[in-house]
Amino acid sequence: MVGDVMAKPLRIALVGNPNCGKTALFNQLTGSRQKVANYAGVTVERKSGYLVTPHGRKLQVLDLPGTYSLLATSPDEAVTRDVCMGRYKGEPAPDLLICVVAATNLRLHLRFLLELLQLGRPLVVVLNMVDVLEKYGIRIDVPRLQSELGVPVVTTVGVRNGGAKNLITLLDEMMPQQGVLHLPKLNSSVILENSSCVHDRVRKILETCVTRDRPLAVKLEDVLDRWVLHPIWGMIILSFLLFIMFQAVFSWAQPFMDMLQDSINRLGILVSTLIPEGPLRGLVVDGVIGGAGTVVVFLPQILILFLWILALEESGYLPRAAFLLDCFMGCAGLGGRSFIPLLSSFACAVPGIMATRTIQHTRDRIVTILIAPLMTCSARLPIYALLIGAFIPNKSVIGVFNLQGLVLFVLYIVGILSAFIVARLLKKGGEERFLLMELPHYHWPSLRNLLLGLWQRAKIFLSRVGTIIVSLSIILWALSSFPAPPSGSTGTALEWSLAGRIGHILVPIFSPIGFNWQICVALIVGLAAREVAVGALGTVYAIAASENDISGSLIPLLSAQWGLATAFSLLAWYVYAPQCLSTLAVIRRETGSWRMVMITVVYLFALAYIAAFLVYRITGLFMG
Amino acid sequence: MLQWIITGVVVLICVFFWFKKIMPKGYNVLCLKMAGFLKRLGILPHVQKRLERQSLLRGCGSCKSCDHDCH
Repeated sequence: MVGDVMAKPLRIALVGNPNCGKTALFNQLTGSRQKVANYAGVTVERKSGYLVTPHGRKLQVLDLPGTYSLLATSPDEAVTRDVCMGRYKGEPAPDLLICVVAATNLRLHLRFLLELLQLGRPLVVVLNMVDVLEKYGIRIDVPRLQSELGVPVVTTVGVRNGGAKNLITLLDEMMPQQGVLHLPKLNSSVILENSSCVHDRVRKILETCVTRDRPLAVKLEDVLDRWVLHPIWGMIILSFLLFIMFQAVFSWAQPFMDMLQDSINRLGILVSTLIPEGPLRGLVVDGVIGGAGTVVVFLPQILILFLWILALEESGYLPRAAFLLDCFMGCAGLGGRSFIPLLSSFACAVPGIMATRTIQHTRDRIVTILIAPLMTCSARLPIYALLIGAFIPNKSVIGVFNLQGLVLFVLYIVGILSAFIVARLLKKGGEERFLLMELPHYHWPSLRNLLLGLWQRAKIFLSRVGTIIVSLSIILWALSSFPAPPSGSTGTALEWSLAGRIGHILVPIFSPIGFNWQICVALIVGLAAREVAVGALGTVYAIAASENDISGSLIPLLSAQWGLATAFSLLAWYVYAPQCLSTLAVIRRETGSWRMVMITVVYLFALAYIAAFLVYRITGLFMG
Repeated sequence: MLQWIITGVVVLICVFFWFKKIMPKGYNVLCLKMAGFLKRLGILPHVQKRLERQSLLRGCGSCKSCDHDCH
């Protein structure tokens, strides 16, 4: 069949309202694994993949951001409008538009479909989520809908394996091997003059094509929403969920972390016996295992954090949390549309900053970009976990809460509050925005999707360890090992090394906030990514431990050598410090300005230094 | 001696990896110059071809949809 595949495939574009299942269908058609979630605004850029149909036709499939109208109000919606109209970066219009509509919400989704029909381009309607129609007691007369719209209509279940079969069959039958696509001529009755015509037309289609088996009753979903969206009970539920999440990160992960740490220690001993004494042994044991191995240990904590985030995403709870927190967002001068980008930033600031494309107002978008790095991303977790593990005793508070989990929760809250304060200052005098958002249906999180999501997070984390962290650990090992100390010199070899000298040069700047030269070295290499600092500390202390013939993991070494004030000061530093090149690069890309990058770097480093200084001095006062 | 050579090569690869990330354009120029140097010496033709290919790459390779303007 490969021989049948054309050099230049026909292009089809998936369009529709947000959260109607376009990306799930895209993944089914192309075999991709793009992120899907049960809320609007997950896809913010045009994505492309290929589908080879059973008859060997090769099609380029475009997945576009969701929009309610072709009258775009935000950068992501503009991408969809431009692609549909053939104005996108010199690309021709797609050969076929596939309008995905949620079968459970035709009243809303038909409006955009009618708008698309007016473009007069070849179009197919995909009625997605038909599997839940029975649950809601809805019946749709598909042939009737097809004749009303005057274009082909197929049914799909985007989240089920093989759920796009009908669409693939239709594409296989209708797409020509080459040339122009010919579809039935548009029914003139769908050409509409204004929005009231659209409403009338939607009402008529619903009357003729949709029937309800039973009248609308109070659903479990409505009962749940009464509690979840309640201003007091809702906040208690949200706080409880977040609190349990941070408790779980420490309590559940500990046995797995101990197992990993033990395996890494054994690997270090094994490699030491296999490789004879020399620079290569130092590179592998102190550089790679001492550096990257220290970071790998935190994988279980990161996976548990993501298990919670993915489960909340899939269940449909997150948009409700956005609705609940809208008044807080309003106090900070931000609109509700800022919530999802800020929430995404808890995983990583990069997709969070990209998700700001859904924000219509430029000033709101810029402020959200500026505060996104203050949300505690998963890269901070290894640092927080390392310092909390070393300095906070693992004991329970009032017999219920784990003290380490409690401290982690406080660090997250400090990040959120700081972001809101900064937003308030930046938005002083700005007008208030109102939140208008679609709440998705609740779903039980699918075990398959959860496992797939965790697998992807584990792959991302391990590939970062395997590339960024291993390479920097090796460079740092070289800088920490050479040049060798001159004969007859005093002090350790590490202090004579290049890294040691650089660290000592920086000490005067960082000693007011309690950082020693080893931390200064870790901060420099940690500019690349936050978790690199853990690997860097691992490498530096592994070399020092080898020199002093001490063996053991990083946590006991740190608790023996650092004071509590230094540890707290470093925690405060990492709440604010913009130590992530990828975040700065994406700010440059999204704002198109180096000025914004400079503003971010300067204000966040200033905040980091001030916070670390205050924490160091205040802790010093209390600890004597 | 072998340990020193392996260690040196590994460290150099890591330095190149980061040089490409931080200064993609500088990395391209360096690859082109090194390929030219190997060509003049007439040695390591495979490495020379690889370096020429590397000199044509655009962007740091970290993100695939950045239109190569992230730096």
